[in-house]
Amino acid sequence: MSTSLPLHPLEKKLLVSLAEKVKPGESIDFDKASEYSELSPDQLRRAIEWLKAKNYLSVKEESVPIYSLGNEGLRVAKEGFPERRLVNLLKAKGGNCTFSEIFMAFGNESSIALGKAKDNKWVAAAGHKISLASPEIAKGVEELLVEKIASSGSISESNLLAAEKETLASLTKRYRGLVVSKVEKKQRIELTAAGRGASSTKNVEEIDALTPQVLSTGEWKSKPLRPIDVTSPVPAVFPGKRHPIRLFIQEVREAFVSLGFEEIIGPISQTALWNFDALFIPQQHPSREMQDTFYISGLKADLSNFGEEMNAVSASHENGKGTGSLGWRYNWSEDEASRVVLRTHTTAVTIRYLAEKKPEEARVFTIGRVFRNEKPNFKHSPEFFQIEGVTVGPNLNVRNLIWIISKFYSKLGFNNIKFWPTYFPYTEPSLQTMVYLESAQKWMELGGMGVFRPEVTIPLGVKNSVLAWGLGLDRLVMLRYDVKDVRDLFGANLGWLRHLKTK
Amino acid sequence: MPVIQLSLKNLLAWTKRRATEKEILDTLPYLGLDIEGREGEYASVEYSPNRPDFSSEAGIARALLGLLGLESGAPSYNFGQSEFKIDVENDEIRTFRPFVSGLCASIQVTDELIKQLITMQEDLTNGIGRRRSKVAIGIHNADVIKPPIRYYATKDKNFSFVPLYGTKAETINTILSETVQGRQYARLVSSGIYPMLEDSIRNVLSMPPIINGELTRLKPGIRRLFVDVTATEKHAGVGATAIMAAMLSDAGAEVETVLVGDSSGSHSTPDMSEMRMRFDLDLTNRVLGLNLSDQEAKSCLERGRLSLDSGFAVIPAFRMDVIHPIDLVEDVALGYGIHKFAPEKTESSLSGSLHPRGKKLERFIDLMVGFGFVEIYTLSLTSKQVSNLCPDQNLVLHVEDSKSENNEYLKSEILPVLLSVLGSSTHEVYPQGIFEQATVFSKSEKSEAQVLEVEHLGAAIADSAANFSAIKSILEPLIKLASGSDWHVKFEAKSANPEIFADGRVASVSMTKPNAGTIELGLVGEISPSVLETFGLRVPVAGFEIKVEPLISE
Repeated sequence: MSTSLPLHPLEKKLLVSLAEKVKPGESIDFDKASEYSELSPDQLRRAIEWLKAKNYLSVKEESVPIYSLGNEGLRVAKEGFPERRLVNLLKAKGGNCTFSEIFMAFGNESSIALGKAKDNKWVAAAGHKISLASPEIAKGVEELLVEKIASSGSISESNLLAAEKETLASLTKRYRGLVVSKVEKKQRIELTAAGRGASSTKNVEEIDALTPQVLSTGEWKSKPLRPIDVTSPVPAVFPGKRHPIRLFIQEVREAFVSLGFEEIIGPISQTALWNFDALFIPQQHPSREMQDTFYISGLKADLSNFGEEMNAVSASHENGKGTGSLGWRYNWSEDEASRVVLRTHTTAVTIRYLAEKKPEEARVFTIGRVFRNEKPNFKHSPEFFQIEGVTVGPNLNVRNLIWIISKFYSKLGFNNIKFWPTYFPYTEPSLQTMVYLESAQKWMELGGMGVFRPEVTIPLGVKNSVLAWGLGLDRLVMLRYDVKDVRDLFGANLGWLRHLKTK
Repeated sequence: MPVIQLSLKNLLAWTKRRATEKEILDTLPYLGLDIEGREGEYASVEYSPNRPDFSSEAGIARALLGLLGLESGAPSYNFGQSEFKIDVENDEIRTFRPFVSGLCASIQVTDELIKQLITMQEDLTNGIGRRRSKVAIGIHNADVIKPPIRYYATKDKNFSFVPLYGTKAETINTILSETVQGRQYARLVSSGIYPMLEDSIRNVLSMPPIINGELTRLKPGIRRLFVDVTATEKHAGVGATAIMAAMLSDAGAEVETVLVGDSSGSHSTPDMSEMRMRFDLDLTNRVLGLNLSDQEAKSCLERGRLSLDSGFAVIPAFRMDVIHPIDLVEDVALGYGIHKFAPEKTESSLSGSLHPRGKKLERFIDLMVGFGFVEIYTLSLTSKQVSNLCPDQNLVLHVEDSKSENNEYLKSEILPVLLSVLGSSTHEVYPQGIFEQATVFSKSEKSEAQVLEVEHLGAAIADSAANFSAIKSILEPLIKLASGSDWHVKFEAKSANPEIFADGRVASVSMTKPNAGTIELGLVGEISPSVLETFGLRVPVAGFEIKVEPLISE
């Protein structure tokens, strides 16, 4: 058995039908192939293309004239040739008439009509009298040809008999514009020797697809499985996947847990009391203005549970009483503290934890959304994630803070990191950190930290030092996934998520 | 954060060329100054609002010299007395804007100096002055003023004077409604009380905190300045005056004091007297993790331009940031050098743990990803279009003054947001399946902040074959697999309210258990064609929205 290429059922059907019905060396056109193979034009086209590529078919193009009736031809088809109209006239006059009567009816065409009718032996002339040769005159070859063309609209030369071709040639000569022709390119299909060979060897029936029926009937034992083209493209399928922010948050959580931190959570909507006042942020501080902070319209918080905390907090603002501070020296307002904000930092969550538990020792963290009233663009989002942590202990210091933050970043793969002084109203000293990005060869600012001020801890009854930090998350995610537009992180881009290689 | 432009050429001159440009640029960040940009000899630096004394080149140079080790300790200022006096005249002013101080400074006024003074004055009045409400500063040509100066308040809106850059006298009314400064600051005098500074021949120097008079406008060539500072809070006014005085003195001016008096007596301004605060070495070493001796700590403080005198830190009047001994700790840290702090390991016997809630939420994520859905994160703040699709409009929360109309409402449902994501992804291959797990918000009087925050899960399938049964066949196993044992999932026909779903193709879903009752979870259904049209969607979408709260607290 010669090696032959795998065949699609369409290919096979065509190949077998051609081998059966077309003699070697003979070619057929598309219509014939369609008739023999019983394939639809579309299936046939595909089968021809595939078989041609396998060299099982040769396809030649040939030019074939196509004939159709011209203006004169259309008139003839409708009214008849002049000689036929003469026969009709004679019939109407009872079989005889005079030449002058013919002239009256045919004018310039008189001699053509009479001459042709005489040639056809349809009429006989005696002096001025013309009479029909027989009562019924059968259709002539020319008339039959015009009818044939008219009935199909156009006809290919290959569909004309030899005699018809002759008639057509003489007619074309006699009547200009009776028949017009144009040349059409037609495929001629012929099996190659290889194709004929493949058709015979491929006569075995194959299994097209494994179906429950094929499996249960055992059909697969007696028939081979049709090989398929494994290189063909297939439809796109996209997997379900976790969002890159979630994946990154998971890493951050693991880093904290490995350092002995406990995760805490807290609400996004906060009272100004906990978001600002408890953190010793004075009430006229620019960050508390609507320019920067989202206030929820029409809400006034119920602070009745925090009477004690409020007294202590307001004193620390007004005169620092009990904290060793001068305070901010203004009149603190409970009204201002009862406004409801979308938290501007996750410190609102850790400070509440501290106020509630007053731990002597603790390591806690929280990761969540924070809000700033910003107009969104590729770089700024009104909403982003923050990584917040605090450690509480009797002898914690700035160098411990530097150690924890360095350790944390090294767990995330950043080993080159430096610290600068900065300012926050609630920490002293305050530092900011920058990490060096090997990939971009630049320093990136990532977050702030410090030691909570006594004005923060003392009013809430926290005795030991508190090291605290709030670090950016989104920029790290953007860095990892090479995101240029922060809006891509937040829903606008399904295509990006589908194609994202999660790391 | 305020930004100031520094001339490196000037800074080099301040150091008398004992430091290089590189040393200066390397040191600035260790003063807490962020270098924002460089252009030629200029560097823009951002300074922290707690250091208003950094609002001038002179102020930054003063600190820089300390950190570079070129000068040390608290600078002292001794000013002679000028002939200027300010009389505080009436009770209205004593209650409305009680504090006033002044100073005189003889200096050759140049364009460059005017620019620096104006920038500084703006930074101070915007920052510690809280946009002039707390502190306002006026800088005048002293030579045209005939002291003594009267400080009083009038209620007469028709009182008139020639305002800055004006050509003729205008009434207060006109000035407030027609000058730029008037319109910007009119709110500060909305009570109808107008503070005035006038000289002895009734020329108006200024109507603080709104606008100066034209008479005393600064021009190059002037040789003597008068500066007035008015304030609602004493310490802010005193600090701002000291900062102006120190800056002018450092810049080479001969500064003289101005007497401020009323019927009860008078005092000399600016008040440059240093504050003394006990320095706590133990606290310092404990917080910084250092073991500094008295002498070492002293030298660190001195590099920060403070002095130490018998256990007390001596703090110049312009250092408004020092309000607690902990602030001295920071000065020691800066004087020591933040870059010299070595990390110190801290051990803890505490064991870390993840919040149990997060673990439970992860179950839903696992299942949804397993069902082939792509997880989406969207903002909590959404547009009106999206928010309108939430069922109970009365409970929807709105934020004030959002800078974008896409971020005005807090989302109370996830599904509408998912539809908007699908609407912007119509060029992507179908089928599309997306989900989000997020906190949603609604008004609630039960919580202290009047906001109820609940965890929801929303999912949607967009596909020619998306229909009720396709989405139900996801939701049903999801709830069964995520809920505790024995719960039975129940679907019930629901009328299409909310209108997001198509009538006849929506069900409520709940879970029930004998003896435990029924817990409503949410809704599932085919999205109504009119909603699809709103989001430009031409394929069917089916989706669900459920509370996961009952399932995770189970």
